[in-house]
Amino acid sequence: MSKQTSKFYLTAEYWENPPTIQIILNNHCLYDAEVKKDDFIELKYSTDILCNENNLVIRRYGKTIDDTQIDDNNKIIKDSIIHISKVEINEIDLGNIIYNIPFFPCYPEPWASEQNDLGNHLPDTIKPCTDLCHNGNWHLSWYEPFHIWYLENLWT
Amino acid sequence: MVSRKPMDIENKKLHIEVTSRCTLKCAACPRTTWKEITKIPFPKQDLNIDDFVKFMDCEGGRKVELLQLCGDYGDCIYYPDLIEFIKTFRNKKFRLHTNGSHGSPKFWNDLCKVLTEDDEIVLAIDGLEDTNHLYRKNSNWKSIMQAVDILSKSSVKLAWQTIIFKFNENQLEQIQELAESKNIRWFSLKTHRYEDTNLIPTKESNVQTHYLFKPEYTNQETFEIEPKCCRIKTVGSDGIFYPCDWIRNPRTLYSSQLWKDRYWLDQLHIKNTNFDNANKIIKDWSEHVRSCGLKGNAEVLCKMKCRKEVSCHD
Repeated sequence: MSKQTSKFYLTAEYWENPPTIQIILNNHCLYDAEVKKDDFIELKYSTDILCNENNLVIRRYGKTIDDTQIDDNNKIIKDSIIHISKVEINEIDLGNIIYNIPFFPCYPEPWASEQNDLGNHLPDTIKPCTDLCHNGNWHLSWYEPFHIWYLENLWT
Repeated sequence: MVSRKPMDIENKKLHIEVTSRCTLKCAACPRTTWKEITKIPFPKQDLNIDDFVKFMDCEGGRKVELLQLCGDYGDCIYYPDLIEFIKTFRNKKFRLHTNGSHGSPKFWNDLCKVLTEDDEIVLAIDGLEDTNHLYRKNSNWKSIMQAVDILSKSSVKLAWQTIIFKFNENQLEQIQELAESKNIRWFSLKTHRYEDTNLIPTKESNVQTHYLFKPEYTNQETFEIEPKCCRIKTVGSDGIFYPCDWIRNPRTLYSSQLWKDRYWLDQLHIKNTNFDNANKIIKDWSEHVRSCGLKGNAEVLCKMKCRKEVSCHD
């Protein structure tokens, strides 16, 4: 059975509880754990789970409004953020392509409603987004063969 | 005197890559670039002779006088069907470009038997015994010199081409002397593709600067482009008729409109078309490139290689 490897270089910034993520490939959850300060996650999986079109999701979950502290001026003084530094698939570093990957945030309540009431539009998608400040899905899609997809997107 | 139409001149010579195979690992070769980017070897591809015969079986194909076998990814001497290919098109002249390494004496002798004084072999040798391998990695000097000695005794015309690098820019006279001592015409070439900064000549005059990338080429600005597609089109070992060999580099092909808009490549598979029809598509592509230049959305590659002021000097 042939295997493929993906590597994720992540950095977590937090002051109390480490943030948590799942890494899901084509609906197969390959990783579900906390992210440490400087984390390196290497995932080996069977190529059987790959399709012509693949969806890899880094799903941030479990962040609450208590993970963010603000001062009297509503300025954030402590927060919990996951920074995606580098992603490699099949030993190929995605490089700048990670800045073209959309993040679909799930905003916390009641903060999201408050922002809405204030007329502040919160986007459904953020791109580029390598700092995951909210819960949500960072959604990388590619088609096989991966290296051709990569070459097509090298300069975009 | 009968003057030739421009189209006739364009179609007198055809550039072909017969195989993607090569034993060398030259730093600026697309196959090396491919491996560095994708981490997997470039697939082995050999031109299908039957497909190519059918492709050339048309008015324009019959008028082609010279077949230039020059690889982008591969070297023609590693094409398993090279001798058969030459025999099949013996009504045309051949110009073969090769690094000359790793061929057996039998191979070179067999090759000499099918080539004539109307044909030419261009040996790409960038140094002497102590330096040639610095760019032509994995090349084998002894086998190159063996090839040179066998070829020198045949009727085929020989040329020795040296690309100028840092390691040979002060050695060019010695290389020329060696080539001429073997009765081989010698010439040097400047390049702008190195991939390794250690290879860049110290003298700027030894660098081909007019093809160099400039950041402004990425801007969406109007550019007057004088496409050379109709003159430098090439058949790849994958059986596709490309407007040029430059675009075949993995850094450019897959991000180009030629690749992404399947309209073009789908009509350029030699298996499904002939030389005359494919030329019409290349001509349309050429007009498309010119028009993209005026609209400000030309490929960076076309701006580097075919902007008007460069094309006028080529």
